[in-house]
Amino acid sequence: MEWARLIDKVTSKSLWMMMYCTGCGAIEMPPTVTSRWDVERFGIMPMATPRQADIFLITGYLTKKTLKRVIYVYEQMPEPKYVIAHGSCPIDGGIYYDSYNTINRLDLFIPVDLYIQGCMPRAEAVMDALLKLREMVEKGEANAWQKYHENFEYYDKNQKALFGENWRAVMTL
Amino acid sequence: MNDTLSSLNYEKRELRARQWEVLVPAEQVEGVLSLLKPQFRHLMFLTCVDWIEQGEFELVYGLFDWDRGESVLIKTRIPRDNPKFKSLRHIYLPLEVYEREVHEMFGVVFEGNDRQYEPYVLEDWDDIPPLRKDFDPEKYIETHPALANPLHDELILELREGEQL
Amino acid sequence: MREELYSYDLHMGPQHAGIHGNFAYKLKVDGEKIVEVKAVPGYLHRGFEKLMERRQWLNNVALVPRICVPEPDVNEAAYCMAVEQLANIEVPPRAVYIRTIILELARITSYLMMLGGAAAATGVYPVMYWGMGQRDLLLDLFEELTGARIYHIFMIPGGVRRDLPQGWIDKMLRVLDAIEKHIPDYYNMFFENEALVRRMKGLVKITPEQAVEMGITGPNLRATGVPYDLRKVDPYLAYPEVDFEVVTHTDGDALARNWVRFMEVGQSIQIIRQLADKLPKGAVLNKPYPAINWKVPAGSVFVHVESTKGEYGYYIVSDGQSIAPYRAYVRGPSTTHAVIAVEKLCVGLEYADFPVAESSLQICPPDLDK
Repeated sequence: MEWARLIDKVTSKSLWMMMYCTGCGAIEMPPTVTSRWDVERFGIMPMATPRQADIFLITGYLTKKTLKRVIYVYEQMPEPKYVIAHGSCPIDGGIYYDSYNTINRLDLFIPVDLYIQGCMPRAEAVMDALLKLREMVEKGEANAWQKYHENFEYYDKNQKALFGENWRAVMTL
Repeated sequence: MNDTLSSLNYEKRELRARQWEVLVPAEQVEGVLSLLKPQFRHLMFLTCVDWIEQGEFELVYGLFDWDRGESVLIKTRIPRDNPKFKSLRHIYLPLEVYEREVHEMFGVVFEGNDRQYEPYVLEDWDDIPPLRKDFDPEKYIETHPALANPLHDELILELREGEQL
Repeated sequence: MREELYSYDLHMGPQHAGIHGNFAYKLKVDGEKIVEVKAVPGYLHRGFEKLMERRQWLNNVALVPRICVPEPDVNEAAYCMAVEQLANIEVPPRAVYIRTIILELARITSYLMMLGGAAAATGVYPVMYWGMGQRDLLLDLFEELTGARIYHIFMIPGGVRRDLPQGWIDKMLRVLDAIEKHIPDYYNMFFENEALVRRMKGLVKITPEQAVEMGITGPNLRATGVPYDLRKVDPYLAYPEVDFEVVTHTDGDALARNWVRFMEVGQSIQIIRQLADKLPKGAVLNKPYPAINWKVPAGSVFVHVESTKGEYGYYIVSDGQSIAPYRAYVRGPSTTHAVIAVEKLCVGLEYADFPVAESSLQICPPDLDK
């Protein structure tokens, strides 16, 4: 038990963030990671490959086509992994609530640790979320990734309802 | 107004400063575009308007003259129940991609453009082309509940049960 | 035979460090050499044109900036100008000037970001860090003016929402001075940097004929040597009243494209200073229409503006009876750049040069996917 807490504490000091601009919110990422807000001083930095990333920041609305890739990327990330949903769109669809090609709720498909509301959330809000996540990791509260194992049938059912029964087998680029 | 443009014997109307619309019968569009090409070298766009009450699709070719700043919209109507048109990508190269877009969004078939059947922006689409007027996104979301906001849906109840596990 | 045996498909994107935005390319490569490129768009398709048919005329003002994130203001301007044309609304001169100032400020923010992206694609990060820092100064100005950093929703049909805050112009001029002071630094870091110049020189060379044929617009077109700028050729807003140069370069390669973008920052600063000097007094909004259930007279019009990526346009059709546009079509510059130009011109490149070539064309996927 103590060992697990030590791991949590160490993990929280160096969280790498997946670089995948899924939507509008990606525009507030460069200010957050560069000189003005500079989250790197908290050990958070962008990372290009899912294999080396801890945080998956969903930056904005998700179309069906993107969501498939998001799930793929999410499953490739090593555990423990944390998901932050950025903006109103992954919460309830936001301004695209009646669009035929965007999903309205992200946590039907993958578990989410933290939401940032707003359109578009400011860089301060993103930083606040990242620091909050850091605290949660340190306390061992950010455990949405475990839910993905526990309730996999549930997530799988929703994914299949959206993409079709054998979407994993037929997916290409 | 440009000489070539004023020599055209079709119905013309000024839409704004330096912009006209010309209504051309479907079979003569190719000739008109070839005639205008030397001056209107830039194809701004090709799009389609669904006039569902008249039972027609209207194809709009937007051409632009870089030297004089004049633009012309060539409009033509084709029947809605059998939307077929000749591909004109040999005249304007960008039509290759615009025709692909119109094919996907409206279901207009451009004969001679083999790339239109490649999927463009939609993936696994299972309904009528989405920009047609008779496509209703609300109904589409109803039949695809995973897309919807499940606040008043049974999915949310399942999620709550899932969280208690 | 060799192609069949040795070439293989390489999927680049949508999640890839070398791709800007949510976009993908399917490359066929033979060793390191690209033999075929196929663009795979659609990761950001939200059905904008359908959504616009379902929103009222004024509600659409809040929707349109979301089509292109790096430079949202051109959407507002083009949409508002199209609606004004249909409804025959006169815009007060002060509002015209304020709109032009906003468009030019947005140009600078977009260029600072683009140059940073182009430099980062070759590993030169300082330009990105400086650019982002200075872009934030401009975003703060926007925030003071409109209340938002990114999506301003400041222009509405008939003018702009409200007048400039007191002292805003002076503050803006000071910010422009600060940016102008740093222009030589950017220049040295970008165009005097051997590592960067060698990678970009001669990469994806486009001739003027090719560019016009392929429907390339904006800085990508001007980098081939033709002075085609919609602000001059088909002038709108207050552009006829200001004096500026159309920046061109004759090389048509990746370096020339970035050079044109860089030089346009200086031109934009000059334009804004002139506008601030001449800024007329008076009302900023002429709103002879109801906010809800507004019926715009029947008609159709296409309005295009020059954005940092190229020609941006709205084709709007009104049937005169409904409270929403009958049809709205968005012409984004990236359609031709990302699909036609990349598919035709990037064949034969080394794989490692592809991200640099792609970033030099400055593709913004959301305006293509819509």
